[in-house]
Amino acid sequence: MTGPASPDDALVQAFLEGDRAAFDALVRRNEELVLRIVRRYARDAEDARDLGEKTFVRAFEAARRTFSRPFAERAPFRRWLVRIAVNLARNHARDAGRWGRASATDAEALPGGGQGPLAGLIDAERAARVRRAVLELPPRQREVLTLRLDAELPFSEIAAALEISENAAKVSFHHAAKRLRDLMRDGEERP
Amino acid sequence: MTSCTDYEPLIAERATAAQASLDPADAAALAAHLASCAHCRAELAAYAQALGLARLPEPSDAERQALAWLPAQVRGELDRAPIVKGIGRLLLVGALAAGIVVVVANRVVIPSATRQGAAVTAATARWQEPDPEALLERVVKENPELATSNGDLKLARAEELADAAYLRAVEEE
Repeated sequence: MTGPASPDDALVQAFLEGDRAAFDALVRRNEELVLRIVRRYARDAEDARDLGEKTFVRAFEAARRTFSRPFAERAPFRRWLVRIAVNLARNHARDAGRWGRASATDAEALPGGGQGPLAGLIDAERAARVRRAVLELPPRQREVLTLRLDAELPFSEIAAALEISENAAKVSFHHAAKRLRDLMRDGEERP
Repeated sequence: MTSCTDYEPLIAERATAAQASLDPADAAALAAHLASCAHCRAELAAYAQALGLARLPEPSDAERQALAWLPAQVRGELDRAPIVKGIGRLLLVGALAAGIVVVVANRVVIPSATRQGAAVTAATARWQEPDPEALLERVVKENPELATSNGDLKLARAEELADAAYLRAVEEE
C-alpha cells in the first residue's frame, strides 16, 4: 500500500474536501496511465477517451466511499484506478465484440512505416498476428502482460492491482511472453 | 542458477527493455550468463522481437488531444449524481444505527422504506456502477453475524464486505 503521503491520495483527500484544482491535477497525473491501459481495447481515440472517463468516474466513486475510513482500511486510489481500467477495458471489448488495435487494418498501430512497401506489409502482418495473439491469451496472462508492456507498471504494482502475488505476476508474464515467442517461431518456420 | 532454462524468466523480462526492473543480483547473473551463452542470446533476441511486436506504439497526437477536456468531463459526470446517492446511504446507515434492523430467525431484515431509498439511488445513477447501498444491504442480509446482540451493526466489517462485492460486480459486469 502506498504511504499516507502518496501524492495521489493527498489529492483525492483534497478533492473530497472541495478542492477542484486537486481534482484536475489528479486526473492529469493519471490520464496517461489510464490511456495506456485501455487503448489496446479501444476502437479509436474517442473510444479510449470514453473508457478513460468511465474509469475515473468509477474510481472517484470508490474513493468517495472508502476515503472516509482510517488509512489502514482503504486501498490507494491508484490501485483502484488500474483495476477498474483493466476491468472496464476488457468488458468493453468483449461486449462490443471487438478487439480494437489487434485489427490488421489499424495502420496507426503497425510498425514498419518507414520501410519499403513489401517489408512494411510483412512487418505489419506479423505485428497484427502477435497483437491478436495477445488478446487471445488467458485473461490473467493478458492482463499482466499488457500492464507490463503498455502501462510499464512494475510487477509489485501489477500484483497489487490484480490481487495476486508478485511471483504469480512474474510467472504469468513469462508464460505470456513464451506463447508470443513460440507464435513468432511457428510463423517463421511455416513455408 | 545453472541451466539455461533457469534463466528463461529473467530473459523474458529483460526483453522488455526494462532492465532496471530486474533485481540487481539477477541482472548481474544474467549478464554474465549471456556473455558466455549464444543460445540464451538468441532467446533474448526472440523474446525481444515478439514483445516488440506485441507492444503498442506510443499514443498518437489524436489520442492525447482527445483527453484535453477529461478533467471537466469527469467532474461533470460526478456532479450529476452524488446527492441522491448520499441520501440513500444516510437512509440506510441511519436506519441501521437507529436499530430499525429486525432480526428474524437469524436473518437481518432491512425495512422496505430503506430499500426504496436504495432503489431510488440505483435508478438515478448516471452510469452502471454497482450500487454501493444495495451491495451494503445485500451484505448485511447475507451475513447475520454482522448484527450484534443489541441490534447494532458491525458497519466497518459490512463495508469491507461490500467493497469486495463491489469489485466482484465490476469484474462480472
